[in-house]
Amino acid sequence: MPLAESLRGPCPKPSVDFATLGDLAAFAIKQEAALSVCEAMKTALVQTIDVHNAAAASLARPPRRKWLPF
Amino acid sequence: MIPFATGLRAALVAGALTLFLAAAVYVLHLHRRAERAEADLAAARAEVATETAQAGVERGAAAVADRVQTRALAITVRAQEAEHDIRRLPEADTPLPDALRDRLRAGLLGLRERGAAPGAVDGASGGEPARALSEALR
Repeated sequence: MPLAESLRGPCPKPSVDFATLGDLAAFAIKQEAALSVCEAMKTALVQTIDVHNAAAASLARPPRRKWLPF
Repeated sequence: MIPFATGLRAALVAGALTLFLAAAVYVLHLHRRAERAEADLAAARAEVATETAQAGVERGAAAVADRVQTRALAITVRAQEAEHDIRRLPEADTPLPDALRDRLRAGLLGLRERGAAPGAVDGASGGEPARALSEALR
C-alpha cells in the first residue's frame, strides 16, 4: 500500500476485551506495536515532506539577468 | 549658395550619424534576440529540471514507503512473537479483577472516543477518561 494511503487510514487499535492477565499483556504489546508503526509512518511522512521541499528548493529560479537596463 | 566643401561636410556628418543610428538599432536588435534566446533556454532548462525533480520526488517517496512498510511488518511480527510467548506463561490465564477490568476498559474506550472526536488534536480532550484510567490503575 502506498504511504499516503496508509496514512489516510485509521491507526490500528487493539481490542480492549481483555479478561485475563495474558489478554492485558497482549493488549499492552499491541498498543506498543501500533505506536511504533505510527511513529515509523510519521518519520516517513516527514522524510517525504523533506524530499518535496528539497525538490521545490532546487527548482527555485535565479533572478533573470537583463542585457540592457530598459 | 552653400559652398561645396560645407555641403560635403554636412553630407558626411549626416551619413556618419545615419550609420551610427543604424548600428545602434542593429546592436539593440541583437541584444533583444539574445535575451529571447536566453529566456527560451531558461524555460527549457526549467522544464527539464521540473521533470527531473518530479522523478526524484517519486523515487524518494517510493523508497520511503518501502522502508516504512518493511519496518511496520517487522514490528508486527515481533509483537506477535512477544504475545505468543506471554500467552504460553501459566500466569497468563489469571483472570483480572472485574472492577479493574471494567474501569480500565471504560477508560480506554473513553480515550479512544475523545481521540476520534473532531478537534481532538487541540489538546483539550481526553481529560476525564485519562482521570478514570488513572483511578482504575491506582
